[in-house]
Amino acid sequence: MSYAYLFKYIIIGDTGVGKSCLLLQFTDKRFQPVHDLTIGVEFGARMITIDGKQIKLQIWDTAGQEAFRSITRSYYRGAAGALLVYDITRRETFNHLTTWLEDARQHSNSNMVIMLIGNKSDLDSRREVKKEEGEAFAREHGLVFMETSARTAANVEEAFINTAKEIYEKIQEGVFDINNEANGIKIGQQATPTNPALPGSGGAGGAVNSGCC
Amino acid sequence: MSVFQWKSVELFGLINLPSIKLNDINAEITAHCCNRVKAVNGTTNSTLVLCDNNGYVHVLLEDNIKAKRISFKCCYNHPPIKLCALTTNNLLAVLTQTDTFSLCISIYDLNLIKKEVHPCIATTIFPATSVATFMQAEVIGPDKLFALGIGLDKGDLLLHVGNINRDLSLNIRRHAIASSSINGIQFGSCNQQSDIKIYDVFVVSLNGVYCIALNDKGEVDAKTVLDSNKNTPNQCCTISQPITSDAFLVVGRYDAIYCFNRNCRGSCYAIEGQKQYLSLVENHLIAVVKTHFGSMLIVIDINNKLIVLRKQISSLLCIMTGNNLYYVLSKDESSKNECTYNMDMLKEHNTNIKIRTLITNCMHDIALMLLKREGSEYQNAAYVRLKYGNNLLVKGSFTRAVAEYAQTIGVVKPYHIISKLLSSRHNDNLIEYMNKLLKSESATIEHQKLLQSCFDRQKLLYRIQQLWIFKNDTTRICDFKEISARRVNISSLIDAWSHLQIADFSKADEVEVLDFFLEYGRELLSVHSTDFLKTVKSLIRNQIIKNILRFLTIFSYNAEFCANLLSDYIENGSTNDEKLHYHLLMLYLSLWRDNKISSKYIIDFIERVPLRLENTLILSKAYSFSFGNGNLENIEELKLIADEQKHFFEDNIKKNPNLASLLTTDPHSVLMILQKIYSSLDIQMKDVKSILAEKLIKNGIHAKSEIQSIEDLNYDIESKSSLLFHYKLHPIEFRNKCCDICKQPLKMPSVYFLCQHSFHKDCLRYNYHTKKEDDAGCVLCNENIKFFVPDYGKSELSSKSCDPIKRISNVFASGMDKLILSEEVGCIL
Repeated sequence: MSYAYLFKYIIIGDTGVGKSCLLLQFTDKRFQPVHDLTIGVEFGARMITIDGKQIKLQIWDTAGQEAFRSITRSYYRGAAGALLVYDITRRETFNHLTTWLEDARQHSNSNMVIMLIGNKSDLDSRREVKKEEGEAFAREHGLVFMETSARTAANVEEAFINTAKEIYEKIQEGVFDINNEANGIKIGQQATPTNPALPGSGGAGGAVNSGCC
Repeated sequence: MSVFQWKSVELFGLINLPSIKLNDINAEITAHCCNRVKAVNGTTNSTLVLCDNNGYVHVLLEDNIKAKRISFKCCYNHPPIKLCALTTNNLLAVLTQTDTFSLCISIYDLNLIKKEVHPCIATTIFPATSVATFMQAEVIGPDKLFALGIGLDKGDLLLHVGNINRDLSLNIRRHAIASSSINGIQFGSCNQQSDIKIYDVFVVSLNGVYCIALNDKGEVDAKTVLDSNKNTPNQCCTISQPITSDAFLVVGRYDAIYCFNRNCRGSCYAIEGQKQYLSLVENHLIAVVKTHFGSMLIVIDINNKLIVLRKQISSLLCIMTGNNLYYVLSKDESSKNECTYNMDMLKEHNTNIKIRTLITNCMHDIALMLLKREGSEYQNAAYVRLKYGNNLLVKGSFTRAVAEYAQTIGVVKPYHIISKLLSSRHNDNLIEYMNKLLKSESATIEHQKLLQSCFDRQKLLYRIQQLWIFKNDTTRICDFKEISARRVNISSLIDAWSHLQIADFSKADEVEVLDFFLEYGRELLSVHSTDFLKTVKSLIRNQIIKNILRFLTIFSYNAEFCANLLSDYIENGSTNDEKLHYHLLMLYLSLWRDNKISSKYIIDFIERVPLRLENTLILSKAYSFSFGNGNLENIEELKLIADEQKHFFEDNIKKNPNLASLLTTDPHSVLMILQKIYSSLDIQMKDVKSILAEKLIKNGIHAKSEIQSIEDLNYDIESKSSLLFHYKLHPIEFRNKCCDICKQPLKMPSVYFLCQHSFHKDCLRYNYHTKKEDDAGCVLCNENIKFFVPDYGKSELSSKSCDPIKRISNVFASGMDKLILSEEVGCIL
């Protein structure tokens, strides 16, 4: 299926905050109550529409454990958006946000849009992190903030789509260099009807044919 | 090693086949390759090619390796074969390289080879400037074009795409792809774009992964850099089988196995170690990882994120891929013959064994997915669901358990499930299951009755809850009408209340009245006590209720109500029934104990009412009621009676030795004594007064000690709670990296102690023989305690050893500060 743009996302955060469940809810529209630990990096994709344009989201769901940090770090580069997730019922996951943010800013491109997500909002009775605290952290670090629930699907679509809108706006403003694949953005056939063919040798990057993952 | 983080269950087996002797291979094997040939009838065969140092090519066929083994010699007298590659239609490409880097490429059709010497179908000598590092051959696209890729160590790629000509060099083109040595080439799918066919070719170099799009003429249409990584070199690669438009490249690096599609990176499987071999057929990823003892064969079910086999292999030569079969060829190191190889067949267990293994390992969800994937019978899935439901029920996931049970309807007998949900705490779950069952054909009338019973039980539960609310929350008593609107049962209570207010009890029989109060009395009293009391008083005054004690038993739990009623009855009835006075006294004493009336009230009552003083005293003692000093005029008389009869009871016991055994502290015995006392006319209650008083004092002492114990326990609970609170506020972070026993990186399963010592569970078992990790706390701390706490007894014992040298060494070992040079030691020296 053809698309105008392809945005690459990365989902990061402590182990057990619900990163994989968010991805599963977004791509498959289902919730798995018992989810296995992610060992490495999982991959998902979905097509969305923004401003009448088809946009393909390719999402890397990373392992939250410290042991896999070296693997997951290599995925920062080449991502246009990041979903930084914490669990509202576990304060320590909120306390570790600074470390995650530093890691993301250090290894990603400077224009990467980061959405802060307080997941498990359905478990309000067990809440340890107030919504206001999440908002304050996001304000302080220039992030977009949302509380979501992968179980009830509340705000899950919005989280992914709003991030895509931010990226799209940045493209319109010319902030992103869309010809540089390292920014995590690719132009599809809808946006560029004729694909510029690269010479047979040398040079990296360039547009490629559209296609489904 | 991150492989231990994976869930693991053995669903594959490595079957040892008879060793094969490749006696005709009497030289070192320089290159090998294998393929997977899919026949028209759907079966697949594979072919293995081994090239030796003498220029011989040995072909082994999967069907019957011994019977179909062909060896032939390459027609050219060139240096040994350096690289070889085999297409799925059995076209073999072999490559030799001269000292001047010239490449000699020959193509053989293995389907035609029958003799020992066979001419090649195409050949060429191609000039090159660097060392050939990798070769891959395949037939691609609908036109079955012969594609050959040769990677060079400077990053160049030689590509042939087209029909085979006698002179291959006509179609070979050179492309500069990477900046480092190429160590992987995989031909992907063919995409038709209008009239042009585009072929995807994945190229892997030491520090880069590329996807190039080739057109029909073998020209590069586009190149995508999928990854560039200078820190961790790529080690080997494979392409997912079968090759479709979704086929993806799998690259092994030391830290993990990475997947790439033609556009970008995909999933990553964290398997650490140097990768020797990778293969991905359908959903099974086979990886061979080099270890210090040889190689580790790992099979991963990538759909379920599950390691399905982990086996050690030594001296691996190669792995052949077959029809869901893999043949592992390894050198037999135990054999004297150097040409003997072990052949192991890697085979998936049959479905029954797999399902049984998964259920044993509580992986029911994976078992269900497996059955679904294999299209197994519905019945099998139902039994797995039954087991899964049972497992979830034990774990406390009731809703999910019922969801699984519901899917067994029609296969599993409802009895098996109903019997598990009969407990009242599963009532809602049972209702849920029964509702689904009744929609199916297997439902019976009995099931309908059961569902009705469940509903009744639910109502009863609700009613009890409501009553609890009424009892504990007085503010809600006024909400009587509101509650009645909600509950059918409560509405019948309203009817009862209305009936009570308008009822004409004058003609009613006492038994009928009592039955009415037995049914509704307690509830009516709890919701409207004042009016209820008035009604009952009027019934008593009007002689509708004659036996008041019988009536009071209904409300025995409410002493205040009973006392009110009884006092009214005594006052208005002008009765002198002693029984009623005692009963009233007991009620007053119980109210006094609950701090509802004062001591003075009771003393006034005792003075006012003609009661036998000794009985009054016994009752007062029973309720620990004290008369105080001089409050009671007759107190002196009571004391006198007590003195006179002091030894009377003991004398009676002496006369009746049978009763002596009852003089124990056992409360049951005391009750028996009292029973006998009441039945014996010879013994009066006042006779046992002293012994009862003594008993009460003893009980008082016991009670005191119990109160003290309770206080101690409360203090203990408080201190434990504060400790827990402390841990909650100051949680301990476990960041240990190494096991404190073996000093190796921690891997699962491991045990963490609060003292910040961590161990592998296995290390604990092997080194300390602990059966459970929490058997004796932290083993290191235990050892430290042993070391620091001086064991004088032990040192004494050791110093008295028979062996003089041992004794002296023991003395020195125990430390100079503890050295007591006894006369005995002095003698030895």
